[in-house]
Amino acid sequence: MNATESRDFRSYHAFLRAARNFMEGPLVGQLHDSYERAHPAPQSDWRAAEATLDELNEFQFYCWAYRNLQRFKYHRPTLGIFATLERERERLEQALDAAAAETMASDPAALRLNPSLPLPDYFRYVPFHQHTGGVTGDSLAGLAYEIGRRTTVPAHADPNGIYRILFDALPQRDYARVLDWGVGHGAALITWQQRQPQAECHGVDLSAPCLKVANLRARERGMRFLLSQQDLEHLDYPDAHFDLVFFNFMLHELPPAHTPALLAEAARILKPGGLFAGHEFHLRPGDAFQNVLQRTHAWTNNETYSTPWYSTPIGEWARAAGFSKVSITPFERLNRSVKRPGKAPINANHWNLYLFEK
Amino acid sequence: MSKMTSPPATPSDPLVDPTTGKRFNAALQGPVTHIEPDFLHKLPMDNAVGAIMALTAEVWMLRERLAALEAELESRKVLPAGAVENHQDVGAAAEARAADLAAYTERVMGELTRNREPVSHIDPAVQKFL
Repeated sequence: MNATESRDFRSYHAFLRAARNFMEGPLVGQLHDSYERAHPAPQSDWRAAEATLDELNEFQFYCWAYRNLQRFKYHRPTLGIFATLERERERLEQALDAAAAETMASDPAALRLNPSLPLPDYFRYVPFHQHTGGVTGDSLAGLAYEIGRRTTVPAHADPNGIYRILFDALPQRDYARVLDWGVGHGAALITWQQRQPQAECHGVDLSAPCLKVANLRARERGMRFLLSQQDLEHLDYPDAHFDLVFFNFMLHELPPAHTPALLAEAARILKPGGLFAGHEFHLRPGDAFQNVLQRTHAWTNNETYSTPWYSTPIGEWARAAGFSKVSITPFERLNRSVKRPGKAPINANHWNLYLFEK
Repeated sequence: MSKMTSPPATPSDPLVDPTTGKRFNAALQGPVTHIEPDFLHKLPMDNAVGAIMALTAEVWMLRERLAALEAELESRKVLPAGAVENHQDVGAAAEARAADLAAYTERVMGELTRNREPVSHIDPAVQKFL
């Protein structure tokens, strides 16, 4: 079950994806060239680099594009994701609700929704990625999020590729019971189940609209998930319950005031030797140019807690939360460089792989 | 889609560094809580005109290709001469075409009339987490 996507819708969003690839590729290359011309000596201070970049047309356009292409994706009349879903609201809501009702009636553990769950302030305050109302604010927000993810990493034609890259990087063990920490629309958990059909797959999220999408997608594939609407800081799972808790770029969406408690709760539900693992973007050490670009995303794309995330001592907090082995390493398979003929590639992003073992 | 929070009463400019008062051109200095930022106010008009010119060229390429396609279809008797030129939508088809034109116009012209209200507001209370 999907929203009806017209030919115009498909071509419009294909263009937006191409525009994002231009922004993150050739535009960044051109921006770097202009930056080097404007300030030939390397700058070690990102604030100084920001002042240099702020004067460049390419940087101003980069910031405009980063913010407004996202707006074009969700908000434009007729062809934006919200307008497209709105035209079929009744049909889509009925399909999501019917699937949820069938699951809850036949297998209550497979979908546990909690309409009275209070949302944490940090979550309510920020419509992440300019998704108006956030992923809980509308019954179709899960579907909007699912469609929107196609251009989250525009260089990846297959949006599930980023999950496979993470799963490839995990220590290869038998993870009998796994939890997707912030399961969203369920695509990562589906990808996991396809690779590990024997695993018992759990997903937790604050968003009922997302969990309904995850439930629908699992049913469409004949998969049984155990989905639950909960606050990650206060989970109802028993102690030492999971072999693996994985996440996909979740840490930067959490404010430091909550991160220690969230880590402690993740550690509590893991078995001894269990793994808390995921990937996350960060600042490339010693690269002021990359640091400025990365920092702009916090504000341009409503990734509001990225800024404090960059100075969060996550390894130290992980140990304090009860993890005995803490590994944070550059995730080279995700660290895409902008390649330019005859010139050194530009490191425009930086990802780390986080492996915390209890 | 519903708004998450109501707009606060006191506007603030996310391009202004709150500690120094300096206004940046494009580097945001905080969350967009009240006013949509204007990243391109120093973009040379030459660049904007250049983008419009490039887009105009692309639209012309489409027009030319469509015209060639019509000519080929007519010459091969797939379409009678003047079929596209003389085509008239009637009834529901005419209404659909008019609605399509109105939506198309709104998509383009709406950018010119866009106001400075962010499409999604971050609650200013977020500062306590930053």
